[in-house]
Amino acid sequence: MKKSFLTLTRALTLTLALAGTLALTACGNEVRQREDGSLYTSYLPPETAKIGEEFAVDTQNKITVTNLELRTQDDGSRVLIVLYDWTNDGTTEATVGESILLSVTQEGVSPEPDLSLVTSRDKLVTPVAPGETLTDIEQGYLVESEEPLTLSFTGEEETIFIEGKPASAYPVRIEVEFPG
Amino acid sequence: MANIGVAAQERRQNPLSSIFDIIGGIFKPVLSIIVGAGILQALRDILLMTGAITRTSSSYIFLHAMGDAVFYFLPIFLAFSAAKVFGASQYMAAAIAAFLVYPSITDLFEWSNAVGWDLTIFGVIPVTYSRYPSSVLPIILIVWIQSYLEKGIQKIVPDILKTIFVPVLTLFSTAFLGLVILGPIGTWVGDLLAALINLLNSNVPWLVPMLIGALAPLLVLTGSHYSLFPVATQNLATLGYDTVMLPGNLASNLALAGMSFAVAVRAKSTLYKSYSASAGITALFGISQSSLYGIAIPLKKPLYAAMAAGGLAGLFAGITEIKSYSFVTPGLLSLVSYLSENESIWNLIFAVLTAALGFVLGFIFTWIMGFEEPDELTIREITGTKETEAPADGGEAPAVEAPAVESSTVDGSAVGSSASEVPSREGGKP
Repeated sequence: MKKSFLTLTRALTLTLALAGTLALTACGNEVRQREDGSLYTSYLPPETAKIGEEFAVDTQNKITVTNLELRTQDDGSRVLIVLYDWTNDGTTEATVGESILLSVTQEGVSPEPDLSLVTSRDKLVTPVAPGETLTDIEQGYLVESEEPLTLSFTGEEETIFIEGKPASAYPVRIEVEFPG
Repeated sequence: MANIGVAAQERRQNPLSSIFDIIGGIFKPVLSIIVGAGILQALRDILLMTGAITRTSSSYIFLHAMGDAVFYFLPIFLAFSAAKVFGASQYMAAAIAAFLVYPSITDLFEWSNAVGWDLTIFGVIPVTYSRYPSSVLPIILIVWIQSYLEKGIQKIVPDILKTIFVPVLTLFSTAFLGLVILGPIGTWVGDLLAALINLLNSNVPWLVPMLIGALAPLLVLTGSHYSLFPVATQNLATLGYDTVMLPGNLASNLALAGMSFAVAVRAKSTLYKSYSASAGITALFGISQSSLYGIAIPLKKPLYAAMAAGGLAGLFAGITEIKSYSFVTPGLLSLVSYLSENESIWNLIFAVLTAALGFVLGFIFTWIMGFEEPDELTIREITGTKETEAPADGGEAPAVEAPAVESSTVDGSAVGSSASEVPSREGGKP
């Protein structure tokens, strides 16, 4: 009696697990629709941008890269400084540090971030009211070569929707020559 | 209570062996959920690879979270378990671990690392970047220190103030020490390791997969393997392929799988056979925690067998210079990442041979070296089947486990027992 009960319990558990998996699988390729039944497309950021051009990395963050500078440390190592403006287009107070992520690559390699020669470090953590713009934000990177650079800006949204189908959000890239 | 006093009595001459004993003891109660989560992760990867779900679908997110939550919040489970082993307050330990994996703390560390911001406490004390989710060693060290701090604080604070001050001081001092000193140990070791791997990869690249194949179990244990991720991602970004971490881990995971199946075949206990087979299956898919913590570390000899097999298979991967073209969890499903239009079919064939070599050698070495099977109580604890079950023949139910003595709370009382009954860390001495 006990043995058959255990067997039944095991069979039930396995069936439930299988059913759960199939249910998950069945709804694996769902499509997001608006209330009127049309397929939903979220904000799609531009794939590339240029220096001096304002772009929205997502619905809450607008960025304008204003300049690239090269500063030299006492030991001779060079720090690339990226200067940019950021507008908080969200509905609540936020800091640039928690809202966007800037990464720099040179031939696929990420230079080490370095804030030692940045003059306005605190701007990265300064709260900004909705709708306001913080100008001349600086971030620094130790660079060893003079190869062209790619600046990539990522916002807070990880998923975008194209014609109802979800996809991974992509960064907005700015391709630039090494500052001369 | 399996406290440190008991562990000390059982301590052998070899300190490494003692460390493995303690870690094995800490992992035992957690292993059943690791196995469940590992199988779900393997299932997730199969569904993803067959196209049944996509990476951005809600189904993937739910399934991924079901499997990953156990690994992501592993420090909390380990803290609870380690506190029992070290005789510290279990809920206090869990609270400290929860603080370390708190989302805003994790985000703060990742952000500071990305922009080069030096974190401090009170503007003076530096805090080194660490990645606590899924980590193992930092929380074990922290709870070990907590067990001493808790005891010391209880002695110092007058009885009338204990209710308030003991938990506050224990929580703050342990969390503070953990954040500033103990937590970053994994990061420091990992940074050294990454530098060494990069150096070796520039001079003797064929040797690196061998080292990773052999040492991966220990790297996972200390959390240092995270430091190798940037090496692999950088290789993928600059060269388009990785010859370092992914081939080495393929060798190691398949060796752990072979080891697990050897234990499954040779073990006498049906429960342990079943556990080892499950662990072997998940290791085949690159999820090797069940093999590592439920078999390799508690039994030790299989660990050495898997390390030797992983090292030799890694050596083969190094000599044949196999290249992985995408970042996929190293296991059978990752073999497709060795296919590329830039590469001859031999790259895939050598990758398959690396996996096969790791598996077969892991099996053979474990078979030859043998192992001491855990006792029935330990097996039941590992497999999460410690509840007393009446035998099918209607006879008397076997005594499965002596009831665990409740661990003491921070104010010296014990749940369900008077303070005088609280066993101390030294195995019951007042």
